[in-house]
Amino acid sequence: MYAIRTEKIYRRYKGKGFQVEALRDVTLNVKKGEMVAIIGTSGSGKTTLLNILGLIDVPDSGEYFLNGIRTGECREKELARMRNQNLGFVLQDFALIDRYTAEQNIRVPLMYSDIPKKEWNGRIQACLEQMGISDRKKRLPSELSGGQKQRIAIARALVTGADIILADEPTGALDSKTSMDIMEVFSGLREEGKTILIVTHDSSIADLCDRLICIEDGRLV
Amino acid sequence: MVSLAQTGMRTIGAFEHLQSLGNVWHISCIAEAGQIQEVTNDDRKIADFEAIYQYIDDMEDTETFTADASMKTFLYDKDTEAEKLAADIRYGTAAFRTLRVTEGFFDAFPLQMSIKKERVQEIFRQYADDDIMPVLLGDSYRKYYRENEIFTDSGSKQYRVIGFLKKGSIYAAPFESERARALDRWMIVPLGNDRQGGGIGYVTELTSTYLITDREDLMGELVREFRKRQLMPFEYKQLTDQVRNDVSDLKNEALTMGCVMLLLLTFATTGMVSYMVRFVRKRMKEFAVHLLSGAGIRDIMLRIAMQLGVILLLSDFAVFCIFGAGSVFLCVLLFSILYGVSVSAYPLYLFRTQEIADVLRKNGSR
Ligand SMILES: Nc1ncnc2c1ncn2[C@@H]1O[C@H](COP(=O)(O)OP(=O)(O)OP(=O)(O)O)[C@@H](O)[C@H]1O
Ligand SMILES: [Mg+2]
Repeated sequence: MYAIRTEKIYRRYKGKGFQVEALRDVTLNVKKGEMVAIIGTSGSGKTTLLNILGLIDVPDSGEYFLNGIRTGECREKELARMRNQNLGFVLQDFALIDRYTAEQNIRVPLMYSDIPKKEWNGRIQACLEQMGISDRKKRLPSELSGGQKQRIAIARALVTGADIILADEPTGALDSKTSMDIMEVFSGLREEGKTILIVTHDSSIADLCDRLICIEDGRLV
Repeated sequence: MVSLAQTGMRTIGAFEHLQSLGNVWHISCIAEAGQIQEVTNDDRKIADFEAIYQYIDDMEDTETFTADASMKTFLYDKDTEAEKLAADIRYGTAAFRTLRVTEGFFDAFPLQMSIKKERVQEIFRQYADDDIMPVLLGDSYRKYYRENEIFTDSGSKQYRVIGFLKKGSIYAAPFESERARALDRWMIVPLGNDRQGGGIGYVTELTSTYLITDREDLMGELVREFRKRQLMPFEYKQLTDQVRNDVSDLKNEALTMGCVMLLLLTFATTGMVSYMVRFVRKRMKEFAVHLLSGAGIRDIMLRIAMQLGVILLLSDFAVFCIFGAGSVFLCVLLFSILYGVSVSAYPLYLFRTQEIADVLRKNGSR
């Protein structure tokens, strides 16, 4: 069973007088529990691919199956539900809400889930502990280091029990020591059986993954 | 604003009704003060005044009515609970605004009352000086009086409440100093033939009398009748043009006010829209994070709409506090909902057209 399966995905960007083929004929299979690195030069289409896999963008043609579900046939509401329950995003710039505390940031996905309210605090606490940052839960993002912010972002990705983590250059804004710490977190999650896709430029990070996928000009090579 | 517009509309309606009846004439006295005194102090002239009244009553092709707002009804304030509605309270007496009219008044100014017009006219016609005075009360009096209730004024005269005017009734008289009087706090009583103060009462009454006829020659004859009886000189004046001017004035006023309001609304709307656009732009990243976390487009739209909703609800609440749960409140509420929908349309559209992925790209460094 594949966690992620795509068939001949194409994605074009059209603007005034230009057209970019961001993805061409991308066919990709990722097994459950795999940790995959996606590498490629800047502008090769990595983020575009991750956005499609993360259900915040749609391909112009081709099929994408998430946990066996044909996503092209889903309605917005179902896509939102899948983003909430199955997918967790970790981004280079952390994508934390500045006016929320760490705890409040982690709570956001819970607001859109079916998880009963009385379980929220327990779940948030568990994620904070897993990331080793329970003592920072009342802090605002501006009062935290890059590594701590990324841990909060990961905690947010995990809080609804997502089984697929999509990370777009999660260590891009971190120094090498902190990057390795974060990679240890991802390795730990892989041990738990999560499927993990990491976009990176860093070969030492790619080496820690089970498999390497290389994109060049929108094509897998 | 709404009630102001309502009054304006009613005033125009009343004027146009009056216009539709025919030319309106007014007679005024052009004598010097000394001459008036001379005539009014002369008891022998009373018969002549009476004859003039009869003459006016008997004029063919002519409707007349008298409406005199110069007198007040006085009640001891210890006896009346309605003293809040008085124009004036002095030395234990409350003075209530009173319109003294003849039955023709109700034809010239159709008022909505809790009692049939014809019945009121009949009662007013039959009223004789020593009877209990029938009185129609403005809407505000409903709190304090019941139909058929009898009350006594400070001069021991008795009044019987025969009915009430509808809320918001107005007396829109083009020839009065106040163009439109809200009658909610007024009493309307028959003029009767109780000409207080002797001859001067006749003069007051004559100058509060209006004639509606399309025949100017009849007016000329009336003035000759005054001369024949050696009363002081009277002249007649046509008011129709004034009514017409007043109507167009009012319409212009309404138009101006409408334009000003439109302008204000435009300013307010521009402000609101730009506020909303700024709000959406500022929160774009935040919304994107919510979308990533499983919010649907609809959840985000709701967040945006709520932002505006709170402001509008606050203003609705303010209106509710001032006007209570009346028709004004209902109108404002309805308008604010429509307004809210139209003002948030653009910011919502702005958001809808932004793909989530783009939002994240714009804010992130990816
Ligand atoms: N909204 C858009 N409109 C037009 N072109 C776009 C848009 N988004 C991406 N592109 C183009 O699509 C191509 C792929 O972009 P993408 O962001 O996927 O690259 P990337 O591999 O993530 O690059 P980087 O490593 O710099 O993040 C680029 O050429 C980019 O210019
Ligand atoms: Mg990228």
